[in-house]
Amino acid sequence: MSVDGARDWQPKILAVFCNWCSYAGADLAGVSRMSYPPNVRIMRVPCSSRVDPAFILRAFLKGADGVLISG
Amino acid sequence: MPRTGVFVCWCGSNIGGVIDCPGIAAQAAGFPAVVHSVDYKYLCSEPGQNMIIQAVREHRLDRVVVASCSPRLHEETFRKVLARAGLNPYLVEMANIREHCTWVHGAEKEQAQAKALALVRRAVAKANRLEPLFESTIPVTKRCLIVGGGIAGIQTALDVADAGHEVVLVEREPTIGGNMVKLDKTFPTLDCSACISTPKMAAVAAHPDIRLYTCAEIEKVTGYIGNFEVTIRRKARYVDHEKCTGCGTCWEKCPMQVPSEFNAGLGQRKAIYIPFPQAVPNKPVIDREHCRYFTTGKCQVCAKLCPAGAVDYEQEDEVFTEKVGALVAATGFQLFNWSRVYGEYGYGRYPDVITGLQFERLVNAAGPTGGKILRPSDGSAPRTVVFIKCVGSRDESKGRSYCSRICCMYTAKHALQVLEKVPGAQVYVFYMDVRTAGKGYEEFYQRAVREGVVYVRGRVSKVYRDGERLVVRGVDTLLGRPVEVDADLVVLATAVEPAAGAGETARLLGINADRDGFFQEAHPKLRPVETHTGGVFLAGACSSPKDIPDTVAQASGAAAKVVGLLSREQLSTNPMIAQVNETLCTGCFLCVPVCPYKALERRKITELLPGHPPREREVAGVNPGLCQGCGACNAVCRAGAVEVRGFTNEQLLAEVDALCL
Amino acid sequence: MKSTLETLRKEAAHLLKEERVKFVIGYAQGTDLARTTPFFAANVRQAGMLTWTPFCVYSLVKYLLDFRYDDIRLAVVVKGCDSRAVNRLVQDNQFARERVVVLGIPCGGMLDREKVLRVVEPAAALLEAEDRGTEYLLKTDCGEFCFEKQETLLAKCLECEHNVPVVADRMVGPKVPSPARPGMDRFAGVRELEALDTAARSAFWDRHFARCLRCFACRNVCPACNCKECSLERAVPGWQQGVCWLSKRTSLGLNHMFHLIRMYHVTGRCIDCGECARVCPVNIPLRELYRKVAKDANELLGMSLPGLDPEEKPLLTTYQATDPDEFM
Repeated sequence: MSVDGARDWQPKILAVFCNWCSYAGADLAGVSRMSYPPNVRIMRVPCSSRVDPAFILRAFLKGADGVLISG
Repeated sequence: MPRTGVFVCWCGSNIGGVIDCPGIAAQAAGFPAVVHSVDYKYLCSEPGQNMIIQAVREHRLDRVVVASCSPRLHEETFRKVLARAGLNPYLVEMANIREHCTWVHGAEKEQAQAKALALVRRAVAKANRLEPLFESTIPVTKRCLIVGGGIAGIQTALDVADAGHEVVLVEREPTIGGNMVKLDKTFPTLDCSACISTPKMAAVAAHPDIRLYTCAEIEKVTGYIGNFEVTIRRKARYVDHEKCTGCGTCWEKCPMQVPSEFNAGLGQRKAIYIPFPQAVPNKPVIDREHCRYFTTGKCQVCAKLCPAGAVDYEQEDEVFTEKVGALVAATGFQLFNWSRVYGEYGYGRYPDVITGLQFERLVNAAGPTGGKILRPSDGSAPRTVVFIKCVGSRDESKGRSYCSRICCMYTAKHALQVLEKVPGAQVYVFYMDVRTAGKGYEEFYQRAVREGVVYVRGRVSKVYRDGERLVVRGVDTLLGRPVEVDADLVVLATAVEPAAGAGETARLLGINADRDGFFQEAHPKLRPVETHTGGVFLAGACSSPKDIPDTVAQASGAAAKVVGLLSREQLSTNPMIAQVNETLCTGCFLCVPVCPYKALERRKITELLPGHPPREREVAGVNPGLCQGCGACNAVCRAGAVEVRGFTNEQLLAEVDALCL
Repeated sequence: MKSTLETLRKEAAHLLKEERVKFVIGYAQGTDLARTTPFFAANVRQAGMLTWTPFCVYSLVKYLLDFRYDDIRLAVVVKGCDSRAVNRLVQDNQFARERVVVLGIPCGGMLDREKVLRVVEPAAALLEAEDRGTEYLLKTDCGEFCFEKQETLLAKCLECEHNVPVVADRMVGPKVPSPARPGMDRFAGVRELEALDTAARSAFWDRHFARCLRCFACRNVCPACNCKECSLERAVPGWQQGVCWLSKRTSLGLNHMFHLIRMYHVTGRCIDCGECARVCPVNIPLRELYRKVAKDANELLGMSLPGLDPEEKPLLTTYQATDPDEFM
């Protein structure tokens, strides 16, 4: 996870989005052809309340550098 | 081991123009359980769909991954494709490589390729763990309850009832009719508001399939789409409407004078009263707060005079329940209370500064002045009338940020009415913009300008009294100079806001309200009369400010949705809801308080275990009609006993793993 | 302690004789001077074998779970710290309060076995233990020994918050002064860790979690861990391509995962009895981990120590329309 000296280092970010709002928001960003860094990987949950804190731990365990929960 | 097929869509150049679709398909072929992986120009097209069906049969696929657009767009399409291919429709998983990848990362093709691959890997990981899901059915109670008896509620009630379904209409005021029946004329046709709304009110009262409860409010809503149970409290009216003939003797003799709500405070009514002569039901109620008998213990004039013996001071609130299949919120609007915040217009201290609704009552032939426009202060006819628009609307600092939509048009109407009823009158309108979208609206506004209404573009900074008259000081921003008008009457176009108590109604119905308190539609464009809560619909100004044509149109739209729901014998339920593994459930019931839909309940089960006598214990159970599949219960269940089908722990963990790889 | 013990035996005998309970779960003398063993007294004679010494360290409450689906009534002996566990089980619907007779004993603190055995021969027979307020006097067949409480009690007793049980159907024995160190701050250890910078704190936990054997002793002893089947032990065979919370492999990452998942599973539910840290064979200071979230829950959400009131609402499960929602 060291960022020192690695200028081209890109964090790996897991985004967990609620189907009804932020997932639709990410769709809207696409429809509006907005642009954001490609190191965000999105997965869909039925509601942000579905997110078990352990999913976040699991993401870090598996090598994610950041987790974005939105809902 | 599942046999998974991956189908990568080009979506023409939308995806294929940014990433290498055949490359994705080739790499996906190496993912676990993938036995078939191809790309195609347009998977959603007829030949694309047939290709999937063909491949399912040929390669004996039992899971399908479609890498294309958002599942919110085409999941349903591909579920139907699977059903046509003879698979359970819930065995498809989509990878959103268009909205979430090529459309947003068009400039970074290499990274877009890597991301698309990760998204497909996720979809494969999930698809491999998908289980077949089956819809179940619930019965429908073929009745509908409407909250609010304004024009929206009336229209919905009539439409639903005419379609042959029973309607329960609940109105908290003593009469239905709402705001529309208080209006004088309606723009832009200038037909009489009461003349077109009172027949509808009478139709409600006469309709054999409409059960009308006035002075009533909903107290509790339980149940779910198709099967609601609503607790209603009908407040005591102290007049037995079974006996009352509506003869009017009681209110003629009542000694108390109370400002009339119906006349927006400009006239008086009695303590036993009907709000206006065409009220439905046309029978009086006693206003307990102002009744002399209730406040002092002496009087009983009405009871003594009533020839039918209908006055009943002992009457109590009635609480009862109604079972219905659909609910409609039609709670309408009220006007923003300008006098609290607009010090520059006198905080309501000047009697001749009135609201548009008060003006409607002044100009109404059935109003307190018999339709003559007279100043409330001294009863004289005003020579100069100033209208100020956007009082509370489009004013984030003091009022609401939104446009109230109806004020431009009714102000133009009011201005014309002044010119018509007060010969030689001067009319000024201070405005920010004039917005006249609607059939015949712009023509109507132009007519007002043509007939001599002076439109001044600018805000009014102050209204103050100078002797008998009011001075309106503002600025004409087109000419760039200050303006001062001596006025006899000032009419404020105050903002439209949700009716008092709308928040509580939203809570009872389990629907959302936006930041301004208006009820939230399921989709502002495509599902404007539905809400996110199944079986609850919206009609009229409760969801946003609307004029009468829009309100009536939406009310009929809501009615169509209700009729569509009630005409079905049974409903199929979404199978992607919570499910309890009763063996794992310890019955701690932590899931019960976190469920926002009250879908979890305690259930007794009998367990048979080897070496033990059958034992009874309590576990959690899911009501499939109430559960919306949000998964809050899933996240709090330490034991993993409650899981949302389609979003199980195993599926989501596999997705996390695949995305973090 | 002698009179307390007599009262305890009498109470137990009474409950058993009247058939009010099937068992009295209590302590009996163990294999040496400084050991006690859990003891299920089923009749009046066995009630006479119950004991009460400064070595009754562990909680007996979790034994109730073995009978959670049976139709019998039980009595259980609790100290102050254990008594909160009764409320935990009642709140979690794992045991109906009316099915258990709680015999509460005000506790003057439990002695650290290691420290005692440095002075006394383990084979010595304990004749009587006397709580003299600031010290314990142990009368054995090898003579009398005096132990200064501040020096020889278990660490958790020096941080004791409720030495008198918070719930009890019968209070057995007189109230005794709390053995807690004066001015004790429950969150002192947490504060120390919070003061470290991220790297040092990370190194601290890495060092401890690296030793974890995943023996599940902390879970087994925990009254908040009352699932029928632990989701962290539910491994799916590799050939099934299944995904589970934790695989059987041990690695620092998985150990972190194990402890952090357990941490939030007990958030708002941990009664801070300290049993997890006591039973850990590799001495991981687990209590500080759970206290950290307890401290946060207290500071951010006003959550008090769980287990004091069986009626209290679990953390993050209550909602009111007036709740602040400045994040919206």
